[in-house]
Amino acid sequence: MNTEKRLTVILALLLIIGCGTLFAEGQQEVDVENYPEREIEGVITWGAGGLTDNIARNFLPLMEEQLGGASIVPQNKTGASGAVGSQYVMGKPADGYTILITTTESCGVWNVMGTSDMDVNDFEPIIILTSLNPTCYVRADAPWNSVQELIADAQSRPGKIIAGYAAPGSLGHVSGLLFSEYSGSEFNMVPFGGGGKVMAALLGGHVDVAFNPLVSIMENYKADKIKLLATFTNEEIVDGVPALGAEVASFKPVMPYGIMVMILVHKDTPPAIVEKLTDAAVKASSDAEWKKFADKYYLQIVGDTGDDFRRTVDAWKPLTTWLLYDAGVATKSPEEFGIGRK
Amino acid sequence: MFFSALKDALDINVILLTALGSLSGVVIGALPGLSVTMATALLVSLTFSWSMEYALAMIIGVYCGGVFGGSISAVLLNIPGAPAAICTGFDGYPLAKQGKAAMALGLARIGSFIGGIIGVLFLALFAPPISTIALSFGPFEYLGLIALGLITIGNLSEGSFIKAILAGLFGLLLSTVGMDPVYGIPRFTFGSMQLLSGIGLIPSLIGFFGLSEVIVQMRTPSNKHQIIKQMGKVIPKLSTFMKMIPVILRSSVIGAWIGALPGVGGTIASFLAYDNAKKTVKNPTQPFGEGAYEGVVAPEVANNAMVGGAMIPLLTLGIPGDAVTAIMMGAFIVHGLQPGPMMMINSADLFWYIIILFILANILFLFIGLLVTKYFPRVLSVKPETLMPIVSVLCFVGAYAIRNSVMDIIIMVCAGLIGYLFKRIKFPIGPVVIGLVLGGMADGELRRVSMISEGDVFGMLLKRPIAIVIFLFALLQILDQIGRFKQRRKEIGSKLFGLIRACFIRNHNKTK
Repeated sequence: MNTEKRLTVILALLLIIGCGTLFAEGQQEVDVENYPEREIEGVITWGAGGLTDNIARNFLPLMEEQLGGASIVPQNKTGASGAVGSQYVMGKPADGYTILITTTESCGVWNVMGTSDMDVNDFEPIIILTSLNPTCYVRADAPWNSVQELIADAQSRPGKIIAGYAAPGSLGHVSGLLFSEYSGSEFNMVPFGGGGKVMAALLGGHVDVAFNPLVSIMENYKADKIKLLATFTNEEIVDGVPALGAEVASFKPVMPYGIMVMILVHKDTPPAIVEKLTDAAVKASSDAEWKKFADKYYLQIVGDTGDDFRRTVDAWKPLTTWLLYDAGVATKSPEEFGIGRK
Repeated sequence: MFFSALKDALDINVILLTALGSLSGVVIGALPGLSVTMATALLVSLTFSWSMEYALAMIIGVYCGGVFGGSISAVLLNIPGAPAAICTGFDGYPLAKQGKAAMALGLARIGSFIGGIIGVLFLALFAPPISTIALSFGPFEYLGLIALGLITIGNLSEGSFIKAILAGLFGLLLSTVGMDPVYGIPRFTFGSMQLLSGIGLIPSLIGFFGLSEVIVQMRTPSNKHQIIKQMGKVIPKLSTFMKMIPVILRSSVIGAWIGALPGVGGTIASFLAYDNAKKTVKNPTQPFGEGAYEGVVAPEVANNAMVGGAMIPLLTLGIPGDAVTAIMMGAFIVHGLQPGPMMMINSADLFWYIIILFILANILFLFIGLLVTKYFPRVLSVKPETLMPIVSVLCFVGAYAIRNSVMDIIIMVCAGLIGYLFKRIKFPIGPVVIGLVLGGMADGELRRVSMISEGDVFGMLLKRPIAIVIFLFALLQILDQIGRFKQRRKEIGSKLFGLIRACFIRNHNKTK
């Protein structure tokens, strides 16, 4: 009986610890004047070493300098296309001590994908850092030497050319859908569960074509293991790689297309704090070091804040959400959320 | 290039940092509930501001140490620190109960050393060809490998075969929770957003093995606790060791090869190596599952050979092979180093520097490891009343820290209760974890196979010779369970072999 009792006590304690961590977040008064007076938690919704993580970890130190001393501590909270980390920020006090670093490909499509009821408009915008344009690439020894050849081949044998992407709703997926929709061709689109695996499958000949930002495929491009057929822009951004909009006329109106990395905070954050954060972010965004980083990885610095931020994201939404809905990937119609067809 | 790299590596700071890294890797990895992934994640973040040479020394030390650390808690407490260490516990824990804990750890350490060195040699000598062959593995081949892994369930666990299969199926079921890999549709999440990313492997591992063990120990009346005072010797006899060389060689090839396949990871490597040892070793020191030395050595060798293997796709293709190499890749990038095919061309001396660091880490760690191995088993003489509360705290910390998520704590507690229940009704837990590890992969690969072949799976399979061989091998493993089939197969096999030999000898004579 003694041991039974002991066990009960221990289990009860475990439960209390568990519940305690759930409700430990107390509300505190916000000192707007002296903000920031302690460290800020930077929640990154994608994994360590990934694209967003890299961008965030290069930008946050620059923003930190502008905030005057208070450090920004990056934390990766992954899961459910970034919804887990965003939910976490939403559950934190609206005091500006937790900031969210995420992408349009997650918080812009959750509601139509049925991942979460949250939306980018449920947060207060700080800044859009960069836009990453995907590229269309194939193996170096692939038979196609231009997008035109690829499109012609895909049209002549619909659904036979395999296009690989990481996960449903990811940039590679949306870009692939966009590519087939606006070129009138059909691909067999297969998810591989991660960017690295797509590259391995492409190099191994299990996938014919893939769509991803240059930053994640740079090394294989430099080593001539893959060839880039086009970037999702209207002007040439990489030497010797044509812009999709310039090559194929039907793409012109929807280019440039890309994923955007942005910083957001809790919706009820005091305006003075939002202003301080925005100010620091804008200054950091024009830092020479940030420009150097962006050039190195072919990132387009955006820097939109406030209303411009909202306008840019709202302009981005219709194309992506409708593509996903028309392809049967998104479960809810964008119309339900007031997003009209472009 | 090699010598300049060697000169860099023989710097006293580099050696000290490698040693420090492996020591901290062992300690973190050995704490039940804390895993090698966490050890690397924690310590790598310390190195961001260091020079690259020093950072690499630390990272590689941590990786090598952490992989071994996971097996210490598996042997001493039956709580594996990482999924790959599960098999080490099968025979390691019985050995510890027999008072041979030090010997089990010594064997694991020496096995790790040999496996680690062979894995690195694979990396150094054959990286480019191996990465080419590894790339030729597509969804069909991966599915075949996963099938092989699933088949080991029947062989890996003691006791009732039916119970093992049921437990494995339970694991497979658990793996279906979360967002489906093709359409992103939530499955069995009951509206919880936290469950969209599925049942985390590490938290459930900690619960199934760690927390459930705490409950078992707490329910055991204190006068029945087994206090082990006797530790035994650390270094095995040379003759015992020589007998194990074939097992070691086979396991290291399995480990290095599986490691080279991106995304498969050490877990399958150690399962396959254990399974292989159990099938091929005729006279183990004790029956498997009761403390066979071979059962400790095989998974440890494979697990550590995997480390070298996993570096191959990272360094040659820029594709991380497992969770730890993914963190390493992040660290490389922070230091301005983009792993990938260009790295082999542009910075070949760096490639050799990394290889030398791996060898250095393994050698340093053989000595440090054997030294500390003497002290670790003392954990066993701590009273459970003192030890188990500490373990349970570590379980909570470990579950939370892996993703900073409270949901993972809830998963860990649930897994702990289920694990305890399983232990009460004598169901094996290992197969549940195997099902959970392989289920997610099997789901993705199976559906990729059907998508790529557009329904004509069999027709596509015929065009893939490697996949056919793997599947036939898997089929053979199932059919071998029927005693008469195995006998017939061996007869036919020896006849065939005789025939081939006869042909060969005749040809040989002709050419003379």
